[in-house]
Amino acid sequence: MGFTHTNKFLSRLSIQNKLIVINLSVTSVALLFAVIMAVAGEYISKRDFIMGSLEVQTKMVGRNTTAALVFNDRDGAEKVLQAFSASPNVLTAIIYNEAGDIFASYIKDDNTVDAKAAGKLDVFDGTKITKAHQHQGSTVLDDKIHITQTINFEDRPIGSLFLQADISNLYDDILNYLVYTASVALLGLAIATLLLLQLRKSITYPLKKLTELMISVTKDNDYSIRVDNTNDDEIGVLSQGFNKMLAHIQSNDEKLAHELSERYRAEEHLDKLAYYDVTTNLPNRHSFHKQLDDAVERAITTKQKMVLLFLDLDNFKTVNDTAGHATGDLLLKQASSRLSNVLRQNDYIYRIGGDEFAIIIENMNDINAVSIITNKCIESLSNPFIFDGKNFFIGVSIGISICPDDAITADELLIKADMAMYEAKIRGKNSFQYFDQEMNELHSHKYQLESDLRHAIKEDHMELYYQPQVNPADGSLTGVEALMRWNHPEKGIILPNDFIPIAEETGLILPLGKWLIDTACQQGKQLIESGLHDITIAINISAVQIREHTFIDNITCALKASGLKPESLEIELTESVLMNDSELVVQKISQLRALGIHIAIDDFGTGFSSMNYLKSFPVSKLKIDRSFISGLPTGTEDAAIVQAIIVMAHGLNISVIAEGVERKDQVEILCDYNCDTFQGYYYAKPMKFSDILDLNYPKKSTNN
Amino acid sequence: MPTLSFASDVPEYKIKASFIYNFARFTQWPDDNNELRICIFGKDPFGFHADDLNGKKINNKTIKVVRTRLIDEVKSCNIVFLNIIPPERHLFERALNKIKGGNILTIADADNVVSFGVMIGLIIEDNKIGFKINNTAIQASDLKISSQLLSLAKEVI
Repeated sequence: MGFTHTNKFLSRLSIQNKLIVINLSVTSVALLFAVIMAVAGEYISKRDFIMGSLEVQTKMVGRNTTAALVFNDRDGAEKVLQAFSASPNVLTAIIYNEAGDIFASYIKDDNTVDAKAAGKLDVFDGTKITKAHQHQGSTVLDDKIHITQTINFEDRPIGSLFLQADISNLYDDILNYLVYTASVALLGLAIATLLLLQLRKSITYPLKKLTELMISVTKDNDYSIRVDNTNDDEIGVLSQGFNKMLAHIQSNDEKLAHELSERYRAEEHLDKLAYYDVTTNLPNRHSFHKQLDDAVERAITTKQKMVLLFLDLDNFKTVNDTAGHATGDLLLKQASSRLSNVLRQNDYIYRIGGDEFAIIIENMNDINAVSIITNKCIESLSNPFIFDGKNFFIGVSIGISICPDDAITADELLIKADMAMYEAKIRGKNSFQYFDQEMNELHSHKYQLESDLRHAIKEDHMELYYQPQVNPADGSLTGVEALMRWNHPEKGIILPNDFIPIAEETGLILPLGKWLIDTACQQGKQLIESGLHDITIAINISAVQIREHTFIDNITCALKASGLKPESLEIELTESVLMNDSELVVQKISQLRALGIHIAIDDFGTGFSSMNYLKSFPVSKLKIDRSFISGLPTGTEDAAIVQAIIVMAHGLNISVIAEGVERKDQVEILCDYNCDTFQGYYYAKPMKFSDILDLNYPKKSTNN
Repeated sequence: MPTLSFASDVPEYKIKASFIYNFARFTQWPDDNNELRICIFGKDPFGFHADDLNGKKINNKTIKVVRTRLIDEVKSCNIVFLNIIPPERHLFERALNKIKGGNILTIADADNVVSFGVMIGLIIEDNKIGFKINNTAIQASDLKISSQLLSLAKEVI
């Protein structure tokens, strides 16, 4: 219990106080033990010395009294006994004769204690003494020593000497000695304490420093502090370990700080990317939607008019297509800059699409002022843009909607501005148009179509038609092109040209495209299994589709699900898709080719005069655009172009297919040009899947 | 002070005989004889008290008491009690001279005999028998007497 208390007490103390308590306790115990041992030793040795010397004295005196006893000379004996007067301890000395009678005695002069008291009477009692000298020896009674010594002469006892000595001074001596040694011990303890107070610094000072440092590190989170301790003891090792740990934390801290700042910069960058358009440095569509929402809300709460301008550049696509994307981008940049310059301080412009911009004008109660701004915008773009010494002319069509007059939600406001812009374009480019209710009805057709298209995908109103591709030599089927048809429940069959642009615009092209891939693979497999082993199934893929990140997965999944071999699939891409120099597209085409899928270039000859790109793409087929074929055989220019394409393609080991073949003379001249395959009404129209299965084409093998 | 009393019932020469015996007990002779001859020179004052000593043993030496009037006979003694009458200095000196070198313990009980050259002189003092010692004479011989005798002596010259 006591020990537990002690431990509790100790645990509350600081290390340096613990050290002091422990050291002093140990030192005290050791010193106490030493004092006890020294005093006990001193007592024993002093007592033994006194006893020994008294015994020797007794023997000597006893021997010296033999003659007195023999001569029966009491005076002589007492004279001899007087020798004890030199021994201050001796109180009484008595010589008994042979008969046990007192023969001579010595009593110390100042012996007032025992000499005349009972003790004396006792020792003078003869009978007792007889007994005493039979038991020769020494006894210690309290502070008295009794020694009895037989006196022999001629080998015969002739008497005895009894001695009583006071050893109380021994106790005094021992007490003095105790006081002395205790003082020395206390002095030692004091010196030990002083030494300890000095020496503990060597232990507790570094510990204290370490503790202070730790507290300072914890408080300030400053990990650059280091312990200054070069000792080799455990504290030194501890300090080194502590320093290493601090260094480690510091470096981690710095790394973390660095990482955080990097992340912050990355986030800032991403944020900028998310809200800004890189090409023009204008806030982007994302930013626009946010600002529009806020602006509408402000307009409604402040009861101020807010004007939305929807701008679409005229002829931009032409510039982009003829002068290239880089020039297109430069033009966008300059156009943005010109537009920004005509705006007032609180009006904001956003790039919300390829060549589409939006301007938000708040607190605009004077509608006439809107017209002024709009005109300025148109004027600013009317001067030509000059790149590489060439003049490029563009215009802008602007649609205007006003909150809350035309709409009180951002979405509606945007739709109405868009409608107004379309109206402006229709009425003649480079103009502006305010939204009015008539427009709403006129353009509802477009939005109806979009909604119907969504519905159609869900309700499976889409269908694939297949147009055969034929080898003119034997009339055998080499492949089919899958073409999408929309079976509109009210409007009947709608062709791709009428809904694909809307699908691309709205993003519906993606589910639509996936449906096409899945269905074509599945039905293509059935066709092959019907006996048409060597045919390819061609599908059209738009630029939007190929950019989608799941595109390759969609293809491989469809192949796997249907069991169609990759070699039996042909993907038709337009030149514009290939000409997009995006690394992503190049990579995806290479991946498709690596899978074994054939790549065909659709509408070949309509886009670019350069054909160098054919060398860098793994293209297996060229599809000559129907516009060239329709001119055959009379159009000499078209004939020359077609012939040149076929020669060049064959030189690159690329096969050539002519589409839109409608007449026999066209077939004949194309055969002269060594065109490989044909597709067109001359051979077959696009037909339903069930119909193509029924066609009786020569089959190369009847076995599966 | 308790002391040996010269009790009237104990004859003087019985005590003196025991003194002589006790002197012998505290004295060492240089010879190895197994006989210790105690001679009484002159008129015998001891009577049968001296004969009591005959046959007693001290350190394996048997006491033989010899009585003689011829000083030359004394030469073979170990102890001689010189009873010279009249007790004059020159008589003692002549007798002592005769036995000189014989390692004989000389004892007498006349006055001042130790000053005449006798080794031990018995005296009566305060009605008690005591003795004086002429240590010079003892040291001149080859005899050795116990220092206790010296301390018991009333006077040592």
